[in-house]
Amino acid sequence: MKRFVLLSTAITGILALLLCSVWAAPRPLNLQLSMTDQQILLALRLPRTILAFLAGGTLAIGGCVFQALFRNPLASPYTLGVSSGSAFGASIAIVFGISLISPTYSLMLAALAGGFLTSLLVLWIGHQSRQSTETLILAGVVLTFLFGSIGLFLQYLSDYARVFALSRWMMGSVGVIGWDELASITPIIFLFMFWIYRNAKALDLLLYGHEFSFARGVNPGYYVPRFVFAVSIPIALIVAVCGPIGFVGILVPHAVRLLGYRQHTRLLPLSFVLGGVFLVLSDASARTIAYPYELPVGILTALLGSPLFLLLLLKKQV
Amino acid sequence: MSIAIEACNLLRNITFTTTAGEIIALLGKNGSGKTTLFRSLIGYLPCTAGSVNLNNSNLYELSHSEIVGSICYVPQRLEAIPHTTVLEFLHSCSNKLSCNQNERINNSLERCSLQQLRDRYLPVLSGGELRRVLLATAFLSDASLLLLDEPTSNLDPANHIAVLNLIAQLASDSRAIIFATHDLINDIKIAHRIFAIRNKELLTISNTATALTPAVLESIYNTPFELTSGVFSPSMNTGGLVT
Repeated sequence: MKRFVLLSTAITGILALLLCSVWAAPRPLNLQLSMTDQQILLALRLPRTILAFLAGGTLAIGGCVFQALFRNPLASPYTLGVSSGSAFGASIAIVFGISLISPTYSLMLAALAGGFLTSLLVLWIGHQSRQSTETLILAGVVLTFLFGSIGLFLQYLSDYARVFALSRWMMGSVGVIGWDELASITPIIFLFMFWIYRNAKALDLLLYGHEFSFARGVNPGYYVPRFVFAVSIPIALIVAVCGPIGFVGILVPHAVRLLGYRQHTRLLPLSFVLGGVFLVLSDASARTIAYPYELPVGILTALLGSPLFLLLLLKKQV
Repeated sequence: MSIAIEACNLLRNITFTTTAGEIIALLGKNGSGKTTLFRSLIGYLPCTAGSVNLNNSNLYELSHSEIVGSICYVPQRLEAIPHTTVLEFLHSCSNKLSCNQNERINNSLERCSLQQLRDRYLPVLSGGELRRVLLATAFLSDASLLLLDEPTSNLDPANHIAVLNLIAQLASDSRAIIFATHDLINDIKIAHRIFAIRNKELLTISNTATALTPAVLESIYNTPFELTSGVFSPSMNTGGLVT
């Protein structure tokens, strides 16, 4: 029953938001759309809302999976350096002005390459340390610093316009995508999400440690690298398109767990929906609260997320 | 079930056969290799050289699910105790069950007297309760050989006896059980045979008054033992730590 209520609330929320966030600014509700409005609605707002939902959901799933794999409530795509690896790839594309097919695609490819190589590096470190949680998380911190400082060095070397483009990208935004890009990333993301969901029960056992899960038939040596990979690719794609958007991956899974859904067969789909709703809502607010200016949504999620997360930490509920 | 370890993770020449219903107590000093033996038997610690044979087939040629299907290993403690309930924990452990999952879980909760604790969170359980929860997972397994790592250590006398009763119940469901222990008073009483790891090799002792003597225990623990009123205990005058 509780599940039904939660799910229907979520679905209603999405439908409402799909409609509400179509308009750039709050204005009297007028359902008679002009041609320009229809253009804005179909070519800009709709893909933007879908992307926000997809990005929020993917980041939340990333958080769920990494938190289970590394048995650490603070684990997220950021903790392991996967996001910063993708960001590093993207900043190389921006700073050096690499343009293969189109600037957007080369940015995506560069971020994908960055995220993929970082996840390979993380897996190698994991293999060397027999999948030790502490080593992996500390390695993630080191990688984040490393990529961050090389990124800063690249910014230092490049001209004003590119630094500006890069810093805007680093703030995280879901407003820069059309239907083509959305169509090219969505199937890939859903493919990996499907694999993760199919293997959700392995995550339940991995929570209790490698020795125990091995003894109960879930071999960490098989599952951990595959999960890291299956999460890193969608995350890299999302980072490529939206830039780094923080806190969704940490906050949303905790919120769903607080609601009492801890088994991954339920935690994963609910986190996806809630993460999506959270980011659509954040994006709609980011677009409207400082009208006519648009706040980058990454700033807003961090502003909302950090105090909430501190509150959770102080209540020791993570 | 027959098991033969040629040379694996420092253990040498370990060969034994068990039958359903048999309870074997495994003795050995701290660090003698009891846990290593268990981990090697399920393939968690792969052998760098040598081999482990299970019913005359090489362990490493079997699939992981085949091994776990015939051997169930219950570690001494969980590496991580997340914020989940007893029921959720047992559900996670019974994913591989084909049918009657809920019935099996209820049955194991009942056997281990855990019905009252089913919705409690693992981190708030006491040591004895957590041990019973771990043993409940053994009831969920169809494996014919159970390996229990020190299931009775750090328990109060009442919980200790409760756990020994559970071990006897598990064996009566036609399973063979090997459990590691340091308790020479109660635990060896329920064992049909006693194994000991001495100098990385397995010593098999039948559990009779003539076979288990202070001299044998001295050779296992490197310290003098005496037998007073039917109870083995180390001599008090040895002084200092035995290395």
